[in-house]
Amino acid sequence: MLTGRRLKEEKWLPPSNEIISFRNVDKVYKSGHTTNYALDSINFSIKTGKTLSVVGESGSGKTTFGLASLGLIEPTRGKIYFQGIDITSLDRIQKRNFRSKTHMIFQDPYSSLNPYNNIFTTVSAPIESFQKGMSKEERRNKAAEMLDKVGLSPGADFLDIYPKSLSGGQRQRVAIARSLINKPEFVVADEPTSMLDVSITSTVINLMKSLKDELNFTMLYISHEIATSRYIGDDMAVMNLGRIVEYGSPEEITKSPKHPYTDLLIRSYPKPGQKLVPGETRHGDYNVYNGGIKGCTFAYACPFKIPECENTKPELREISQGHWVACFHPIN
Amino acid sequence: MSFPILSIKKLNTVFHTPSGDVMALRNLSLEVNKGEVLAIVGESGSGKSTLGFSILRLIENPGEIISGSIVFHSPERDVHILDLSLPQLREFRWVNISMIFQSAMNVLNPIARIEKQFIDTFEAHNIEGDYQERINKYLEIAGLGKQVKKMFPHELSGGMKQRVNIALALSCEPSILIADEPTTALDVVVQKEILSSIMRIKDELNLTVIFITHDLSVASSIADRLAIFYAGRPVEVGSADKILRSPQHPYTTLLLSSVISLNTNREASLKTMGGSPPDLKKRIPGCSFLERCPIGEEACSTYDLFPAKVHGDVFVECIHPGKLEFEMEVNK
Amino acid sequence: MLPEVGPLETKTLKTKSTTGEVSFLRGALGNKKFFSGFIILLAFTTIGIIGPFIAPYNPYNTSFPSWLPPTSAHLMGTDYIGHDVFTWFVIGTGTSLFVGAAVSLITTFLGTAAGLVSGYYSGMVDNILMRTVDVLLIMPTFPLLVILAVYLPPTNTTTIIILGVLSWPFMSRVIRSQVLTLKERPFISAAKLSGYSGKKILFSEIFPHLLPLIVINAVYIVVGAIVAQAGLAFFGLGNLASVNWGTSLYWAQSSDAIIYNAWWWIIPPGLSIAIIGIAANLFGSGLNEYVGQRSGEVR
Repeated sequence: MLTGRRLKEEKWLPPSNEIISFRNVDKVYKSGHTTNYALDSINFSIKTGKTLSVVGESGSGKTTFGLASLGLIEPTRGKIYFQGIDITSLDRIQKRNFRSKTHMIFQDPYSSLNPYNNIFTTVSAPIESFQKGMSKEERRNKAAEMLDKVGLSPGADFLDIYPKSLSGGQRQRVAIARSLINKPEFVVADEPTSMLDVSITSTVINLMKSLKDELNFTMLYISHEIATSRYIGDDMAVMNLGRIVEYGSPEEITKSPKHPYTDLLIRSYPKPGQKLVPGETRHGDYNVYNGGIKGCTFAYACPFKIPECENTKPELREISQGHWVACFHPIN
Repeated sequence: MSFPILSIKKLNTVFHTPSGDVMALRNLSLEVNKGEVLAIVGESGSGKSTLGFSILRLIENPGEIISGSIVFHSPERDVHILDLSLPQLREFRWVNISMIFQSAMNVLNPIARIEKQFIDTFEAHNIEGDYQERINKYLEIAGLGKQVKKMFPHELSGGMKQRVNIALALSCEPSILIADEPTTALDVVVQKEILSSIMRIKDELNLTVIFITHDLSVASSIADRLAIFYAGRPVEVGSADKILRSPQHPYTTLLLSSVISLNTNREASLKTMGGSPPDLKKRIPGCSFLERCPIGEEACSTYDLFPAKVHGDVFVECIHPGKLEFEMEVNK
Repeated sequence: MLPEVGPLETKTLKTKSTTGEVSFLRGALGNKKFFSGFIILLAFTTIGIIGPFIAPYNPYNTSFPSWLPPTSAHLMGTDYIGHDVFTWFVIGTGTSLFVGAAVSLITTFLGTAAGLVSGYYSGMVDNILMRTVDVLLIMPTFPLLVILAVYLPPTNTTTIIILGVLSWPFMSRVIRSQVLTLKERPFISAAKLSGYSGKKILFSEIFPHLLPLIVINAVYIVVGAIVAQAGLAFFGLGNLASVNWGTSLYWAQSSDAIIYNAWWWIIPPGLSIAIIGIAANLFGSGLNEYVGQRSGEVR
């Protein structure tokens, strides 16, 4: 639990097994005449100790979702709770506490490490800030130990070198070490493998999965890649244009998607060793999206559209045990 | 019976860097057959893009093609691309071989209407006739409406821009289209649409396509033949079906095994490939994959890069092709 | 179909030796422009520092004959009332460089501080600072300089302060825009998540990236200040009793050195100003090129 001032106006208390809860969260970007809902009234929770994969195309709001859950983006409307405390209005001590329990692994391992800092400075940054009592010697040992854990061994040999002498995969390992060194309770991984080569991707995914089991944190895994998301996630959420349209077990979603959009995503995913059959396209394109949509975000291209889809917003509802979908006519 | 339209022999392309010359293509030989889709698959630094740029002689300082030959077999005569003078090259490019790039956005001129960009291309290549008719024809082939002519690039989505690029690349009626990671920056749904378009166009126009990609799944969904690149050379070349069913080179085998698909077992850890590609600044004696190869032996270090023929039309650069067992549920 | 492939031919490749880690300065000196700029600036600085020790005479000694062309006793001849021009040149180099360096110090400090603060903390502070900068930037600097110089006591300190206070706005703009780009980079978010305070992010994460830029600007400002000071002196403003390149030119011009054909009096300070200007440009653009290359290799 976060210590510090409790807010008086806080009425809604999220269940204790939810580490992050979004309540009616909007994030609106305005530029000129266009309004974009990166998050469109999100009501959603991440379960403590699980890995949630969020899948979506570019513009689906999945990165905004991740950044908002870490308090790096201020929502336009709504509240975000971390272990029951609203992170949109934290005082200084609460904020420090919150920061000490969260971290992030970024997409681009080249720009997420400061080229002027050596690996020791980079990896030990969180313990330098949050464990003030620790001596430099202790921090060096800790950092070396953490580097060993992420597969850069012997870790002590990496401490004094700079990112430029590391490969992309090694840099991402350093970033992972930095994010986990202070034993956070919640980690966001935003497309951590999309800049890496195929052969390195699987190594990094294996690493994240085993570290998660060992260190027991909650992970939000954000990706456009449905197969990796399925592999790493305990739960999976599919986002489209700022909304979560389907949520459930990865196995079930990928085997029998209920939302027509999820279905389209899965059918479009290239399968190794399977030749493409031309034809079959989505009608309409992204440029139609412009500001708050009244009905379903996929109505413009949905083959099963009914008039209701255009005018009424479908809410997430549980159609079978643990499988939620925001659609009036889910696929059977 | 297929016959070659492009023959590349003993091609060496280097990049001069302050810390030494990087041999991006090492004595590479490859033939492209008329009417096929040849997918060139490799990780970053394998030389796959360098090959595309070398074929069109787009290699710029500090890069240099230092030796080799590239012959384009047109019905009338053989054109030695590396021997063309600059004006001849300008005449040759685009009319015989054209190219589309990964960054669709950066290729189009942001301040000119699409129509103008076509006309500029036609004028640059001395093409006569009814421009408007021609523009309409190729926009339609690429799956775009006539109204796109009057638009500016910023009014188009990423997928549409890539379609415009395809239309532009085809508008001078080339025999070969080189597609360098054309879908990497796009979402899966759009990716599938673009891939379908390329396949359809290829049949319609009797085109030969050289498709460069890092993604084996994408390659296998479109290619007739595959060329697996490693450290500046193709290590395995042949029919896509055969290679995907029973890969012969250990690198291909490991690469295929590390592809994460929707059928990957979620309980088991992912198959990985250790190590990293060799430093191309140094001369590599023998097999370039030796360092990472699980079945490598001493003889491999002196192997003089001679491709062995297996299965009739698959060529493998390995002294014990097919020895590394391949077990994977890719074709399910 | 793969035709026969022979063993790799490497005889045509000339592979340069791999040097590994190179220190920043040594690496930059590999750039021809930077190297020549650096050497010229170093030479002037050396003359400036050792000037008072190698000067053969007292600069105010007027006991020599006037209008003497260069001889072995007077390497650069003498002026209209018999000063030794060589003595004036070596001591003047020191004064000019000192004024330039002092101005640069003030400007760099003010400009960097204002740029960092307004770039990183957007909002009120940024607004106030940038509106001040706008006002200062639209004022025509040189006329303002002339007016101020007329009313303030004519000492070197006055010149330094006026130039220092007037030239920071441009620098703060440059720094600010760089900070604005840098703070969007993911490693800054990572530092925030790691619990770094704003101050720490500013100084330990952002500042090192700005150093090359600051050095380049500081060198330009040294030269700018030397030229501005010379300009003031040329118009008879500022401290005319001071021995520097500007006052040399002022006295030469006011005593009709051109009519007397006394080239030995005009050329040393005039040419020096031109050369140091070129040197600063070589230094700056060479360093820029090197930093660009280096960051290209970092990626």
